[in-house]
Amino acid sequence: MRSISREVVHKQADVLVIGGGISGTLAAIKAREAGCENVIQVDKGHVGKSGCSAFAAGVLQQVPFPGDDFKERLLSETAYLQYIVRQDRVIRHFEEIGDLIDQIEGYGVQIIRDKKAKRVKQKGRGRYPMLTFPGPQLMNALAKTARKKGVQQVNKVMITDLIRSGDYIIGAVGFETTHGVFHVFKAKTTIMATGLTYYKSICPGHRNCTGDGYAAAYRAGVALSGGESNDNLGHAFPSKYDVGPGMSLFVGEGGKFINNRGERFMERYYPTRKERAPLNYLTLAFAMEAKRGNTPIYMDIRHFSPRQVDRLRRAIPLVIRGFESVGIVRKGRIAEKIEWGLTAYLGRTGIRVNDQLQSSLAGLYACGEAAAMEAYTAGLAPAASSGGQAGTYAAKQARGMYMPKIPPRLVKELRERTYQPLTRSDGVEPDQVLLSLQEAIMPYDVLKIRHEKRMRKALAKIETLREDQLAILHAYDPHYLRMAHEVRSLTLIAEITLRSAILRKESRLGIREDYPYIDNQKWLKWTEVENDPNGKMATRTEQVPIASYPLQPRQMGRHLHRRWQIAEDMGIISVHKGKIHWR
Amino acid sequence: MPPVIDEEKCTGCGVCVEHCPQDVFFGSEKKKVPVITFPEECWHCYACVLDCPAPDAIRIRTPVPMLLCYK
Repeated sequence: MRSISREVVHKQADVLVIGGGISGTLAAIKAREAGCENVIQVDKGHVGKSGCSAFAAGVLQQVPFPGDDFKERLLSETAYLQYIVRQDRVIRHFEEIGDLIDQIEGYGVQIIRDKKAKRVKQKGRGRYPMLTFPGPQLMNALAKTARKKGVQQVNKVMITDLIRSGDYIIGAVGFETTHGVFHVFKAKTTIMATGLTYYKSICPGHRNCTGDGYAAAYRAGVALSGGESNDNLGHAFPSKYDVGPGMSLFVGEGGKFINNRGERFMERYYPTRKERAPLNYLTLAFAMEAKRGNTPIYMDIRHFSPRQVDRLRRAIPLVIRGFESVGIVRKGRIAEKIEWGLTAYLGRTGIRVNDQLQSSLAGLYACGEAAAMEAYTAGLAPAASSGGQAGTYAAKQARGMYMPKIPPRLVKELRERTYQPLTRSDGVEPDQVLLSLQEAIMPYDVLKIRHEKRMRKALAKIETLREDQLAILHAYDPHYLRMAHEVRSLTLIAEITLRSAILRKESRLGIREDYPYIDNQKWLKWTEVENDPNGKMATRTEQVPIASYPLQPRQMGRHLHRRWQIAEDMGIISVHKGKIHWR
Repeated sequence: MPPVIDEEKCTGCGVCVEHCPQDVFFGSEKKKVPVITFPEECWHCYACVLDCPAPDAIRIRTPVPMLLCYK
C-alpha cells in the first residue's frame, strides 16, 4: 500500500465555496465583490476544468430578451417544471439575470455577437432563443476572474464531509488527491456548489460529478428535496462517442431524430415542436420507442449545409472535431447519421434552500444544481444567478461572525472516517461496486418509465450494495480513495432517488405506469429526505403553497399525464383500471 | 480514451497533470513527461489538449470500436 502523508493542513475562510463550476465561481466572485476578505474555493479536480460547466456547450438558455412577455415566460418555465417549482424563485432569476449577463461579459466571457455588435439570438430547444459563447472559454474566463479578484483556489482536494457543531456547519474536511494530505477548512459560512451526478455514465460531468456534496450534506443532517425529479434534465447524447453536449444546437439548426425504421418519431410524440420538445419529453419518447423495439435511434444532420456545420464548429469545437476524427465529416458536411441514446438520469437529491439560499442548517448555503430543483437553480444561467446570490448572502452573514473553533477530537474522527478504505488490506474495489450500482439503476424502465415493483427491485439491490459492499470498500492510494468516496456518494444518491420516486404516487417529475395521473389534489407537494438522529433515512412531504404563487395549474383535480394521453391517442398504450398497458 | 503524449514535443511543464479533473496522470513526476496512469478514466474534457502550451504535444485518441459504429 502506498504510504499516505500523515500531514494535516488547516485553512480558514470567511466564505468557503465547495465546487469549481459556474455556480461556485460566481459565488466566490460575488463574495469578494461584497467585501469578504477571505474566500476559498475548493475543487476535487481543478477549478474551471471540472464538472458539467467545463463542458458548457456554448448556450445560455433561461435568459430574457427585450420584448419577451414575462408572464408567458413564467408560465412556460412553471408548466415545464409541472408547478412544483417555486415561482417566486423563477421570477427572481429572470429579474436579475439580465444584469448578471452584462457582468459576466465584463468578466471576460465572450458572448457571441453579430456584425452589428448585438448579442445573437440563437434558436434552440424550446420556445425561447438562447445566447451562445465559445464553450470552454466560459469557465476559463470566470475562473481567471475569480483569481484576479482575490479568490484563493485550492485544487485537487476532495471534500468528504462537512463539519457540524451543534446545529451549525462550520466548514468541511477532505483530502488532497495526489499525496493524501488531510485538509481541514474552518469557515464562517460554507457554500455547496457541487452540481449533480450522472452515475458516471455518458454526459457532461459524468465521471467527475458524483453527488459528493449531496452525500456530505445528507450525512451532516441537512434536509434534501426533490430526489424523484431526477429527469427534468435527462439528456440524449451520441451513444457510442463520448462527445458531450451540443444536442440543443443540432436541433436548433434543424437536426432530426429517426428510429430504426427511419421514422421521424418526434412528429407523433410532440407534433408542435418535434425535436425541440422539452428534454424530459424528448427522452421519454426515446424510452417509449425503446419499449416498443424501435431502437437504435439516430440523429440525422446529413442535410446541414457546410455553413451550418461551420457555425457549430465555432460554438462546440470539440464535438465537431470529434466527428472529424471518426471520419464522418466529408466535404464540410456530416455525412453519416449518428446513433443517439439516453444518458443515465441525473441524480439530483438537492439541498433544500430558503430565499437566501440557506440550507436547513445554519452556515451552509447551496446554489446551482446542488440546490433542490424547486429553487430553480438548474441550467447555466440559473446556476450563475443563484451562485451570485449565495455568495452575496454568505459574505453578508460572515461579516457578523467570529471564526468558529473546531474540537480536535472531531478532526481526528473525521480524518479516520475519510481514510477508512485505506486501512483494509483487501476488500472490494470501487469500480466493481460502481458497475453493480450502474446495472441496478440505469435500465430505462427503472427510473425513466417507472413502476413501483421495478423501483423496489432496484432499491433492494442498492440496499445490498450498501450493507455488504460499502463497508468493505478498499483503496490503496489517494486516487482509489477518491473513487471509493465517489461510489459511496453515488450509492446514497441512488437510494434517496428511489425512495423519493416510490413515495410520489403520481406521474409528475417521473412517468409512472402504476400511477399515470398528475394528482393536483393530493400531490402538489415536495418530498423531503433527511438523515434522522437514529441514522435512518426519513422521508416526508410538504405542501406547495400554490395559492400564494401567481400561477395555478388549470386542472386542480386528477388527470392523465399528457404524455400518457398522447401515447394513448397514438395507440401505443391503453389505460385500464388506472394503470398503463402496452399494446 | 487515453491521451497520447509526444515525448519529444512535451516540455514537462505539468499543466495537463494539474488541470486534469479526473487525475488521469496520477503519479507523474515534476519536470518529466507525464505518465497516463488511469486511461480508462479519461472523459474527453480536453483540458489537457486545450491547455498544453506546446503545439501537438498531447492529443486524445478515439478508440477503434467507436470508429466502426457509423457504418
